[in-house]
Amino acid sequence: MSDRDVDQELVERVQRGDLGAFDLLVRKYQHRILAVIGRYIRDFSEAQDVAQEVFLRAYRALGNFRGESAFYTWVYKIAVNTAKNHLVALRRRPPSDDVDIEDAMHFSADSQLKDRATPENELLRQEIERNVTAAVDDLPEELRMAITLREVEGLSYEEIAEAMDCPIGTVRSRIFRAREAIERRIRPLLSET
Amino acid sequence: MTSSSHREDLSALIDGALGRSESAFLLRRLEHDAELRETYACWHLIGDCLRGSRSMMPAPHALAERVRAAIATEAVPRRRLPLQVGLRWAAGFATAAVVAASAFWYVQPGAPGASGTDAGQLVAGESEVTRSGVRADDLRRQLPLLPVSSRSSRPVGAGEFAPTPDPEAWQKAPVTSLHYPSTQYIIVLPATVRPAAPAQERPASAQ
Repeated sequence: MSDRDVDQELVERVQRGDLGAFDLLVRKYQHRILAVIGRYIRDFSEAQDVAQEVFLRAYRALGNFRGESAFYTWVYKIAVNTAKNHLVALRRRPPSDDVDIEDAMHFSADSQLKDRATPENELLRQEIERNVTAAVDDLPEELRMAITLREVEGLSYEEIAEAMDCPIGTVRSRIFRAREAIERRIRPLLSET
Repeated sequence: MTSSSHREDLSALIDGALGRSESAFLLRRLEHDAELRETYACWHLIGDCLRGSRSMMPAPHALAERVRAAIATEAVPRRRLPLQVGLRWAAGFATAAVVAASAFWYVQPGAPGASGTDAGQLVAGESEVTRSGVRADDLRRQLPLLPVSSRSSRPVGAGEFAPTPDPEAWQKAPVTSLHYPSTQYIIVLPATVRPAAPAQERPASAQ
């Protein structure tokens, strides 16, 4: 079941009245959506309010979602429009350097996010980044390679198995262990949020 | 307590490498397992961070909870039938209606008594199909001048006339038997007689 299939399954569950399924979609994409909104709205607590509004709008409009595009691409558009409308409502001008919708899946806020984020939140983001990088560096070679090929290069388990010359089950296990090790490192930071 | 196997399955789910049934099971479990849900959010954050740390901004725990509380009072966003599908259904019904009407447009009276030019060509001006729950007599009362063919214990024979409050009027119009044992419909065919050649006379039996 591909990542997109999982999202579609969750969307259909929501359409059948399952609120918990929508919670999973929120938890999956909240960090990315917040980064998108952070491109438009400097204040972090204001950005959170807008993020809540984005997910609420997405929920209300979910009856119209037919899966023609990926769920994230769809909710990304809602995020951009909501953030812009928010600025217009406050008589503030949205930035002119919009992200093209084609780049939505690979969106990187780059320097704008750094400039616009509040210092304490940017500090947390940098701290998480530093710890994730350090945790990956500390991993045994086979775990580091497996998680990097998966998360950074986007290879499938089959492709990683071929690259690492090992069974698919081993790839699965290595990626799992790598995630657990990184999670242990950043969990204390997440509890601060 | 979340088992290690569930966590390993979760890792595979995030990578799109879990089977359909296992995925469905795990998604269900996720909804009821807060600890597993936290892990799910954390691993997605790790992935976002590895793909490009600036494409993510760590969301506080409260955000998901706020959204959850906000949608709790909302109506369920039921999937709406696209307009095109609705039109397709309507078009299908319209086509079926046209085909049904066309099939009964020209009906030949087969009875010897009604043969020749007296019957002429039976033309159904309009037709009506109704559930068999409606009694044929009810329909006859509504259409006293029109012959009725129905699915009954004994089909109306060709050239026969169904009982009517106005037998004389019925006798002026020919009737064709239409018996469909496999259907559940009564088919009412209001019929008119198209005049045959002007020179031909109507037989006395048809008066």
